[in-house]
Amino acid sequence: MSEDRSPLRRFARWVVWSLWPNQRLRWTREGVIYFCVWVGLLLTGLYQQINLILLVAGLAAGPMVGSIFVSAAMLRKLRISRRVPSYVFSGTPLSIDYSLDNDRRWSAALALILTDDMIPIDRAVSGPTGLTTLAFFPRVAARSRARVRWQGISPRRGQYRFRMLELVTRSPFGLLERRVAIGDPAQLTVYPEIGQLTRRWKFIQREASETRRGSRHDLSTQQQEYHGLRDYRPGDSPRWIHWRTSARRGQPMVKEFEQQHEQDLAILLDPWLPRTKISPERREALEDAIKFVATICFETCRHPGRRLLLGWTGAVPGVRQGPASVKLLHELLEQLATLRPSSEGSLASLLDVVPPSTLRESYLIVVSTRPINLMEEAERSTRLSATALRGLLGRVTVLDASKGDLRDLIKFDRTNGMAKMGRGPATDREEASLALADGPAGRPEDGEANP
Amino acid sequence: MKFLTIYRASFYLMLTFATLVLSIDATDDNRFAMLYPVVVALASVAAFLTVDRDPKFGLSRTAASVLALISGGLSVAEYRYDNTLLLLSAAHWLVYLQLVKMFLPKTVEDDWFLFLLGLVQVLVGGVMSQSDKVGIALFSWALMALWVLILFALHREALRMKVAPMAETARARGDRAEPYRGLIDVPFIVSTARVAATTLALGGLIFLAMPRRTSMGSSQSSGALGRHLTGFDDEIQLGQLGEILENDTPVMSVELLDNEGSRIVPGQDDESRWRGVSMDRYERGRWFRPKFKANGYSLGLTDRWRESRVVRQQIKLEPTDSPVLFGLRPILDADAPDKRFLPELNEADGTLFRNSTLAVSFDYSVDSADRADLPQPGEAYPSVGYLSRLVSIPDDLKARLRPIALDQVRGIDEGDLKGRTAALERYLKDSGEFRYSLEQDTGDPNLDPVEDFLINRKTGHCEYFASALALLLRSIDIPCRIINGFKGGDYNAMARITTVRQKHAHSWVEALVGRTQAQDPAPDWITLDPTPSAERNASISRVGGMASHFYQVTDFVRFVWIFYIVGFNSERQDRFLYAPIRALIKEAQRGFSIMGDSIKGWFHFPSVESFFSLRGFLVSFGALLVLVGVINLVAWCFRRLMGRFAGKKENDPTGMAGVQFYRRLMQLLAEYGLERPAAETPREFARRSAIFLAGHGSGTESVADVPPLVVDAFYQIRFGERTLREDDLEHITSRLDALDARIHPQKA
Repeated sequence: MSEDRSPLRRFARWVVWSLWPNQRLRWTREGVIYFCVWVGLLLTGLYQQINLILLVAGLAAGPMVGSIFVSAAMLRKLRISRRVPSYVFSGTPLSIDYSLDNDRRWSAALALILTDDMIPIDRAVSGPTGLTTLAFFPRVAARSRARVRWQGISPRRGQYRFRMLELVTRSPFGLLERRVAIGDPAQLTVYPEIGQLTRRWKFIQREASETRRGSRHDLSTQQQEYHGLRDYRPGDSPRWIHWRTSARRGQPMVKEFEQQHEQDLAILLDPWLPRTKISPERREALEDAIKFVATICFETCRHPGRRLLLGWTGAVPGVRQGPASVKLLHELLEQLATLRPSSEGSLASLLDVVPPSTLRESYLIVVSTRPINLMEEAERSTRLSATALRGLLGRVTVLDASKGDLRDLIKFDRTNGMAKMGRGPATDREEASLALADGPAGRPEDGEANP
Repeated sequence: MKFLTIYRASFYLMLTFATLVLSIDATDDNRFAMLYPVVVALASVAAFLTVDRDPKFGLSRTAASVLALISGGLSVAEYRYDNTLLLLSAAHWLVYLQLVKMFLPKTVEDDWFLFLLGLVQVLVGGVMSQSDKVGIALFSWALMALWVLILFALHREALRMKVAPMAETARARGDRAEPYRGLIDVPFIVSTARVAATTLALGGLIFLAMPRRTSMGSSQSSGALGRHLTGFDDEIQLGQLGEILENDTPVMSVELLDNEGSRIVPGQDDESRWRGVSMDRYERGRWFRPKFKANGYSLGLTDRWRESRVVRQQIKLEPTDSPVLFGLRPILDADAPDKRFLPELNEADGTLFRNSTLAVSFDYSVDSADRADLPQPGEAYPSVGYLSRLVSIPDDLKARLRPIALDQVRGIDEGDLKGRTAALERYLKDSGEFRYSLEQDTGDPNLDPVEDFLINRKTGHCEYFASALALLLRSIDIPCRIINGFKGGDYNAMARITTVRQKHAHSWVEALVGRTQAQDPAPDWITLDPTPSAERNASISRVGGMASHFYQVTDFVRFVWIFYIVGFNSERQDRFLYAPIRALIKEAQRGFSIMGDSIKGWFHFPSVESFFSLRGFLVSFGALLVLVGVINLVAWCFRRLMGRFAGKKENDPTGMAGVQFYRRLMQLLAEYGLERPAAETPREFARRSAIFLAGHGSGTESVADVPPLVVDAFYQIRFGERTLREDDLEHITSRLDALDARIHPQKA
């Protein structure tokens, strides 16, 4: 934004800023006690009318009154800034860099505390409480910069907003605290926590895969990628013969297909919660479901090649899909990070918006927080025919988080996240975080930073 | 140097100063008083080297409790030894507690407790004594306390943010535990000094503005008498005054004011005589004060004097053991803020006195006529007995002195008493035979000292001159008396006060030459001062040595201390603070009224025609300008208030949607192969994208308007703080869907 060069406007802005209370002053605990002692001193002096007691009372009042001016001077000509990652996984270490520039020519900035609030944008997703970070700048010499890194554990999934940076000083006597709020908006997306899929989940997947292979001959060649031509071998299906090439070559040639080893995956999430009387267990189940889905997305996108679809129920059901990639993973994780629980919507309506090809060919995982009767849902669906339903039933795994279906399928490393920071071998999640940090540039936050 | 070391050392120094405030003026009550600060200082060093370096050397809490109990016993024992020293004994208990506490491992609360103990010691010190020595110690403590409070605040902050571990871990961690590396540098010292100066100035202002009574309380000393002032006893050995003539200790500080309350600046040769005691009987080199019953005469400024020129003396008398007060004669009125000790005038000999000899400084004021030759109101004509004493002189001495006196008054009529007294005064003062000297050698020990002075030595100080004149006057039957008081003083131009020191002590003579000629006849006393002034002044100027060169400064500090700190009462407060403020307000009011009158003139239009003029145009233009400004201001305030009431539009769906749309657009265009470089603004990018979409030739022409549309909406929400209407939102959504459909035909 270009600076306003009109001196009149600049003056007007200066006046407004001078008058507008962007600074707050409040007593500290010690200040209150000091004030009480001072009142006692004053009353004694006034009652006894002894000038030396009044003198001590007067001098003792000096620090209280002087703090008003000196604390304001301490905050002058300071600049603060924050550097925050655009995303982080819930439960993993979060680092935020704060820097303080002291533009004063002469005096150092002493004992300054910087407070920053991470406020959840959607409290229904992230809960009511955010995160308050503190950074302490003991001494920043004149005309220099100091950097402090705050490290903590990232909060629950969701999008968080950083609004104001507050610079706090209790200078010079610690009796009054002055806070100046400096607007520095930023946003952080906390992706759902990623766990580790268990052997049990791998077993289920293998089982489902074998079932699919058993009926593989039923699948059309549409599921297979055309690779090239080769000589005919006994046993090859006559349908695979490429007649034109065979005629040209004078020997039978067949089309060669590369079989897809892994089938496309569709995850349908039903983040249902009752409208009222939501028990903590139900909420926990919802979060578990989201973490589970996030973990599957994460695992899937690590190996490009498959197409992945994520659908979710709600008042307006939604779908996101694409070839498994880091970019898609970000989209899906962001969606999962901001996914609101819903008391409306059903799997049937979600099935209506899922592309038919997916319903026809992909392997479906339905994760819900309530019991799901797939037959009923399919019947209610306007798109799903009886034939399609029959085909679908062999390719779907339905999991009910409220019944603890996910308990054996995923596990989380619950050790203290702080202990992992900077020490010991990096966990999978840290690797993931690092890996993702090298992912596609141009996150939304970057784009918005320029205007 | 490490922060913790500096902090702790400063803290202990402050505690030592606190104990010094308590003890510095308590040596009269307890001769070991000055040992307390020394002990505290030594204990500080010991604590610093032991418990503050390693808490394992500290006392256990149990041991500390036992020691605290023992110290309480010590204080009780001290009180029982001398039960007049209750306050001092209690204060010493504070010192003992402080010593115990110093040897405990310290938390922040312990430091606050120690600070409070120091503060209470200072308060007790202030209650017990208000001398300038206490003032200097108190000021030092206040400076140290400010410094310590600053360091203490830094220490607390470091502890709060867990970057300054306590002593034991600090030692183990070494440099890493240093929270404020490089703290003590020149800028820090300068800014701390600035903070201290600001704080002290503000504290001083608050002190000055605090409500005061007319009479301020005095210190609660043990009741001992004040300093003995030689030369003002009931019986004075001739030559005794010489002891104090070589002493430059202040006796009193005097502000001289005229009728209007303005300061009077004394001339270069200030000859003001601060009258003290009178002496009437002489025997063998000794003068005796008259033994009157203290029949006090309450003074009051009569109407007769109210209109005359009066010299008001605001006097702060240092603690003395004498009830005598000093003032310029003739004294018209005398007053004191403390109405219990109002000055009274002895109507027999005209001495001013008080009914108190407590060892505290005494504030009083004296109104005197500006002419010293006027009679003293309220003074009775001497009774027969008193009159006989005023002419009494040993016969043998009279016989020897009379020829000398007669020789000097030869040719002057016997009835011309004034002429005769003046002649004798001139003989001693101006004849050149007699020299002023503070040396007291004896010419002939068999002679009376006065006779010896007159005949042999012919050198001496004022007491000899005055005694010689008095005895010469009596030898020719002129009644007279010796007056001991002070003459002159050191005028301080900075403080505009006169400090009267012991070296200014002086003796002179008052001779009774009849009755005044006024309607109300009173005794006509004339003042005679036979001491050669020039020689006396030269002698005074030699007293004091090097220190006398700094009197301008030291007297000013003393003046501030005694008049504006210790003796600051409602009257001075009014004069110093409120009267100037009132005057300023009055002046401002006058200025505003002048401004108002001139502005009124601008708005005054006697007729409608006169409004249609250049003045009318300017006035109406200015008024409209102001009106527009006011309306704008009100509207601005209203908008801000409404904004505040409405709260922040943080979760505004349209606002969020705007950002979402923008992201979606960016995403779609990225998939299309258009990415915004960092150097391009969204609007520029939208324009470029529109060109690409329009010119692609693959059916995207119809959605070329989408990027500018979305970016405009984004700008409105993001920077314009506006919200989009529902139908606009829907329109944008549908257009984005169209773009999506065009870019991803397979999806559609």
